[in-house]
Amino acid sequence: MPMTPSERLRARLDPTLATADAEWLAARMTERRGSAGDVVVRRGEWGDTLTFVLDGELCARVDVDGAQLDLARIGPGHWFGELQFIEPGPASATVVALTDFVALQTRSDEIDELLADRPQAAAALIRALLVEMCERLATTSAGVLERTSSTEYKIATPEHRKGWMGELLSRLFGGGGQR
Amino acid sequence: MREGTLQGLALFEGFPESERRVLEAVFVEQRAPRGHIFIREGELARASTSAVYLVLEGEVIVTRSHKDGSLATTAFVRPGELFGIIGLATDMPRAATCMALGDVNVASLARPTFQHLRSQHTRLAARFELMLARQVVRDLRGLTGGIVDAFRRGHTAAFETIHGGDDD
Repeated sequence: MPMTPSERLRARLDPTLATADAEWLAARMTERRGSAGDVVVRRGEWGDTLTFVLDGELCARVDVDGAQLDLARIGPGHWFGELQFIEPGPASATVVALTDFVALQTRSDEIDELLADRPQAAAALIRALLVEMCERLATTSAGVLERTSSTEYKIATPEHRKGWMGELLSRLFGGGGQR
Repeated sequence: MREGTLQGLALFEGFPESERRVLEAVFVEQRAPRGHIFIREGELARASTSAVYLVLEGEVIVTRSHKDGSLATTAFVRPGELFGIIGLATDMPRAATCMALGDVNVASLARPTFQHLRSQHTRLAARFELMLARQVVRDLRGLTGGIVDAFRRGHTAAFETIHGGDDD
């Protein structure tokens, strides 16, 4: 049997979160549906929305000086827009729908309400985002130094550097092995 | 930490006074001499000793080592700013060394204390973690900009100046 939206959310945030809290949060978020080919977020555009994918697949990519790099595939149980949700600002990547999709969304200016109405659910969401972003920051920072201090990097061709940039940005975006 | 220390600090502006008081009661003030190492790169973060630090006076330098053993300075943490965020939130090995640049006065919040705070004051702990997350977002954005910039320039200089932020 497929997971319900609240089960997906609970699995992503904290499996020990009370079912009622996960159900409340899923119900509190706004459903967003889209079609294959939709550009959901454009790199550089201001935003404040966290999108949690329930069904379908999207792709995060960046375009730097004509070089298009796919950073991550985002499928059910994964999210994007987390940086903008925590601190509204420009999107770090463009997100395009590869298939029709269904997602849940919440905006940055709703955090205070979430905290006031259901602190346990809001705390689980904030904590999951904090832990994930800390892990990305630690692994990517180390990767940058490791890469750029190597002789290999200094004599690399632009094509190689493009590959490394993609790898590092993918880590930053949380793409992991899903590129 | 003395009552009123957090008042007027930009990071804590979003906290109601009552919550600031609770935080002031759990942060522990600590003086350290020049050269004192709070966090050492490569060490495993231990649940019992990891802490987040708030600089009250003086400056803390954040460095990372290159493969060849040389050091890169990634940040200076000044009064009102934090370091050690990653160690509070995760068990990852410490990503940088954080050392007192001169005599410093810092306040630390250890992980066990924070976990206790979370069980007693869920909303306050979540607001605190949100503040930490905002700092991490700024650092991630800085890193993204630095990577793209370095690719464009095709040399390593941009990487040397990437703001490593207050991550440890």
